[in-house]
Amino acid sequence: MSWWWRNRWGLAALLPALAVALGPGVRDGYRHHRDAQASAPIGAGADGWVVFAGAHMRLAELTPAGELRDYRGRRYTPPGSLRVWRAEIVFDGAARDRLAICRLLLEDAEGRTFDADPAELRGVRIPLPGCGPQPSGADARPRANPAEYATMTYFVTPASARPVAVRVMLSSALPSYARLTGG
Amino acid sequence: MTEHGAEGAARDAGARRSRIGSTALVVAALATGVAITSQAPDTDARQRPFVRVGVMGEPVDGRTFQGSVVAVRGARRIARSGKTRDTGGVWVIVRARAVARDKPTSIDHASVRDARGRTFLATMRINQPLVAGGYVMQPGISVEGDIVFEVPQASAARLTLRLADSSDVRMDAAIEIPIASDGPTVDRWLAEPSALPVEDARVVE
Repeated sequence: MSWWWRNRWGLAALLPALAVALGPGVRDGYRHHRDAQASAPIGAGADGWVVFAGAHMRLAELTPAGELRDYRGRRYTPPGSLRVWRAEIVFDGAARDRLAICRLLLEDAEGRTFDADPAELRGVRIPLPGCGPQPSGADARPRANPAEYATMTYFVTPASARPVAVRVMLSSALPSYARLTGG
Repeated sequence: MTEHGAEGAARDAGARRSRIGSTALVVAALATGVAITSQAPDTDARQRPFVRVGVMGEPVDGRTFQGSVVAVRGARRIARSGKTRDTGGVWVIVRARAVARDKPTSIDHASVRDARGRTFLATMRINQPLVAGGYVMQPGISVEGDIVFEVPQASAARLTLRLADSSDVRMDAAIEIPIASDGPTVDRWLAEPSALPVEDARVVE
């Protein structure tokens, strides 16, 4: 009786044993990697509002920014290769607490993302980006519904970029994020 | 010898052969393991960065950004944020240009390696304008800025710049660009009495 024959059952069990031993680690690693990426966008419902992390939000306006000034009141003109964008986002009252530490990104047609409050706008008088209410004078229009509030956020892109959405992200909610379109 | 005695002796001989065979297999497996581990690369080698090497003036792809070296200067003294700083070695100032690929990116690792293989990180004695959290690049927007290193005089003539988007470059992309000059150039840098200004990073058209 050969060694292979005598140990046939042990040999046959080796592959399943390896799968059982290594499988959970590989699966957890993949899940950990997947969950760290913003890969599950949440879009607007039929009423135009996106529901994310227990709060409602929508993009009211996304346009090239008008005149900008620095903290000394001087007019700021960006380099010709850049364009500054202004996004007005409307939130319901629940966002005040639930999205207190959100991150805002502009997404262009190529899928590239751009940070709010970029280094290119250092020294320019713009409100701090965020999902909480901004102080008065931050340009956001007052809302007719007192349960809502609006914020203004500024982004910089190459002049050739074509913005298509604003992303609202929470690290605790990844891989899901709110993808606001329209405006 | 009886018939039963002969069968028993044969069984014993078979069992002994089996034990010797098993022992030989275990020894062979251990020897194979030792041979493999002695030949396999160590942890540093296994986790080394994926380095893309370029030359001065040419953009090099660092996976999340492209970087190039525009110029290299040196001095005994530098000026930054209204303050002057001296060194007993040489301040080497690399003017670099970089552009993020598809998401906000910063260059969190910047170092130079000398001819002896010693590595010097970008100095923390000043606020670095471009690296070490000094600037977050937005995709498609080219930015140019100084990266400042403090190195011994003997090292300054033959340096290789390394840039990466993460401070921990293990198993990540990094770009390397030799920024060699020569001894007379370093001497000229050190003879310059005035402080060399380190400027803020800025967008380039």
